[in-house]
Amino acid sequence: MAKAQPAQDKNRASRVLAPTSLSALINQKAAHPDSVIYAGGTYLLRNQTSRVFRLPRTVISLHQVEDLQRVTRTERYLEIGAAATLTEIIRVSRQVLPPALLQAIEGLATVQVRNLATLGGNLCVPDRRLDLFPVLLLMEARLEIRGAGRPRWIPLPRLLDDASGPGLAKGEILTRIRIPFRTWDKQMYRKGYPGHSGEGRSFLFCALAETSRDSLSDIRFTARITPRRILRFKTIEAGFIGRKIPVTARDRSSLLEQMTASMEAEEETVPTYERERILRYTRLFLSECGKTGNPSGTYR
Amino acid sequence: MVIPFNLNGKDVEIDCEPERRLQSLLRDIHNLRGVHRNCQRGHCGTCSVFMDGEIVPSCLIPAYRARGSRVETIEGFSQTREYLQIEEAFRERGVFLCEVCAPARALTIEGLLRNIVEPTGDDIDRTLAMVRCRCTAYTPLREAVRSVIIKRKALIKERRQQRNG
Repeated sequence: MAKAQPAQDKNRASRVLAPTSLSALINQKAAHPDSVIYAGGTYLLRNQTSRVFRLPRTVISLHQVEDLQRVTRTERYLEIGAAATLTEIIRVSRQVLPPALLQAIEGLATVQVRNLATLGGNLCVPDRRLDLFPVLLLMEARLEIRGAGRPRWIPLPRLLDDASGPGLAKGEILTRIRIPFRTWDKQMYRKGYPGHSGEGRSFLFCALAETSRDSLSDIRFTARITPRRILRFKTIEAGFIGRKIPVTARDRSSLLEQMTASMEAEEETVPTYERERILRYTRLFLSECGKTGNPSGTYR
Repeated sequence: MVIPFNLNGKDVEIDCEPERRLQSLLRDIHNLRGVHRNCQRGHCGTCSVFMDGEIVPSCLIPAYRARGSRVETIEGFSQTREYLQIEEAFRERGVFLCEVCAPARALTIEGLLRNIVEPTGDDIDRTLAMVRCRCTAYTPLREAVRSVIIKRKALIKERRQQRNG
């Protein structure tokens, strides 16, 4: 048996737990509430350059918990295990994934990294909203949280919203993500890199619309302008539902004015690049809403 | 921590820290120099290996994850007929890769063909983007991949015929 030279102080070595079932995972998490859940590890390890990673003291690895890697679908929703890799999600559900979500996943990283990265990991990063967060937010994804007690379902915004109490209490884990199927006729997902941004900072815009005959039955917009800041325009969206399509020039400019006013009223200024992109993509999305012949509705 | 795994078809065991990079384990301990150390962030793709059939960046995998898995590096893959086809296609199309990206290019192309029998132009471009190296122009590389696809179909057909007697 080959033996490696110790490359670090043994006192610092991590303890890695690798449960093989969901119940064992929950028990281990309850026994080690301060442990860190390790799914794909792409975020945890991304800025480390030494030959030996610096992992937290106790790590619970999910790679052997098959229950968390399942992707299932019913007539009403798609359910994705928190430790399902992004590649697996695309492989299993390419035909049913909403185009905006598919585009967000495919735009995330290289194929090799997507073979490791998981959906749960993408959502659970505490200090950032990564790329899939805004898209799933618009789609009203719900999350199954399990701990010592009964499993509970929470809406996605609760996960990282400290104001309404922690979405994940100590000893709890995210186990499943449920995405309801809706007939989003038009979808748009755009990602950009502002010139002023630091490394790894990107701007995201996502819009969804549901149409019925000649009117909008639902429309939603969101934009991630900083790693922690996501803009929603719920009041404006609500006022726009029921408008005729194709959207008239008057309705369009009214919506854009309201959006501009809303962004100006924000406590923290919305930078120029982001503000202009939001308005530009909204304009484009609205003009596409009335068009036929683009059933997939994803504009790349 | 003792980590038993299958490396290029052989069962091996190694006693090392669970946090050690798989890349370091393969390169420094097993002396597999086709696994390159480069960006260490999973961006460049030059440390790619097959782990349980999936192509992954070995720089982003702690050693304990390899436990019980099947790892294949370019040293193992280069013993196969599939590799010879890729090498031949490179030669025919005048693709001369640098030593850093050549192993990863072969592995990523193989990864593509293991998953998709009939890859589209987009699939090929996505595969080429998995390795970030600018040593060779993409046009001959694309042609080489297309040539491998044709050769691979012939190989699959030949194996099927052999199986059926």
